[in-house]
Amino acid sequence: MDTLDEALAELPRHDAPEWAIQEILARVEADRASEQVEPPVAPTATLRMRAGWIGLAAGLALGLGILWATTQRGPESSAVVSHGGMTLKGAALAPVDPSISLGLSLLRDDVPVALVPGASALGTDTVLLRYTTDSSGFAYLFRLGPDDELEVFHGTPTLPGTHHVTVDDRIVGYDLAGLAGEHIFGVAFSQAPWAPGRGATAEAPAGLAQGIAARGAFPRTIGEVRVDAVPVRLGARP
Amino acid sequence: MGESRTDEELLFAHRDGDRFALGELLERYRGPVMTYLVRTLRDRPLAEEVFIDTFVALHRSAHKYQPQGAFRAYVFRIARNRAISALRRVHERIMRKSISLTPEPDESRPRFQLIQGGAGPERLTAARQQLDKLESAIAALPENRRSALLLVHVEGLSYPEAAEVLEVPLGTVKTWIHQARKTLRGELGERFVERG
Repeated sequence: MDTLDEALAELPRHDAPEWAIQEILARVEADRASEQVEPPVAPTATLRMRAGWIGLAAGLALGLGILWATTQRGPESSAVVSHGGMTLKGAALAPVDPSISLGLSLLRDDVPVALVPGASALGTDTVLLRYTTDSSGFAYLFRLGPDDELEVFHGTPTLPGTHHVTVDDRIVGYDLAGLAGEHIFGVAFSQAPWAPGRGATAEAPAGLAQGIAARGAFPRTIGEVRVDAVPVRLGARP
Repeated sequence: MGESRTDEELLFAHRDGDRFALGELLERYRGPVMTYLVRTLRDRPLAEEVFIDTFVALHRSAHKYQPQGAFRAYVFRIARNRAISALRRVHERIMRKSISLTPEPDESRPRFQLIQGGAGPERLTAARQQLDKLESAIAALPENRRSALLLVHVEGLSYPEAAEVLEVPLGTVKTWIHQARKTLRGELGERFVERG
């Protein structure tokens, strides 16, 4: 034993957050739910490939079913499995209060960095966004500028899980070049699609910009939309 | 009260439909795997995503798991492979708003930074500073040496288990760890010289 070993043993430990544990258990439950629609035949290589497609189709059908049920009948209670102090919403018909959370980091000189509270972004940075939701619906990424003008720059149907913002299966970011002041970047979750926008991704519901600009913590519900957002203040490179 | 089940028994039980077995496995591995991923990726949100990917992959491969080596080596191998894939994705596929690819980094090892907030260095104790230096020195190691060192000296795997995770011969693991320790001592100075 030497002091290097002692120092290595003293390094701080990390723990997975509870939401990550629940995310895993939810995905496993979703997998099992989709497996139940497979035909009860001994698996072969070909069948396993088909099962993948069946699982995918079942997943999509389940997502669309959830969406349909939500829009037709309103919220219903979820099936809940309790385990070791954790609560897992498995095979939910539709969540009572869909959750949405935004992850935001900056790409600075091609290096991803965290945006810590109180720190400023640079005009040369790119904002990287990802979001996590427990529901099927539609996710819209937006920027609210200092003039309270709302820009919806990305919209997509979404399933439960964590999603990076991608176009053509490639991660995309929002270039901050030319911006100044404080901007609010966020994700809005809606159970129904928004109308197509004129020259924009989609038309945000009336009152959304004011609801986002209002003081208070995120996430918050604005009308029929659940929103999580992070303010990004532009500063000069030291 | 019966004896607790082994990791392998839990995975088999999970495969056979036990709804609580995976939760028990997660309780056992959430700390070790997360600690390894945070130090490997140097980016906690990314580490959380890879943690999820790791255990979803473990679930999806449960039907073909064969208990040949150590189970924890099997788990860490999935985690490491997922971490390397994540780093590749981040480095190779990040795009600007204009959908043009950013230039690929010209060095293969990760260049993630941890942002330090709160108390400045003057408020940190000497021991804390030393640990920060050690963290930085570990982060600067090439991925294979860093992984070998972390697996054996932080997570407590045996050398043969680390060789399983890294999918290299035992002698290579020993060499990597020897080189890693030598580098750390060179970076960190006299405090870490062998006592003998």
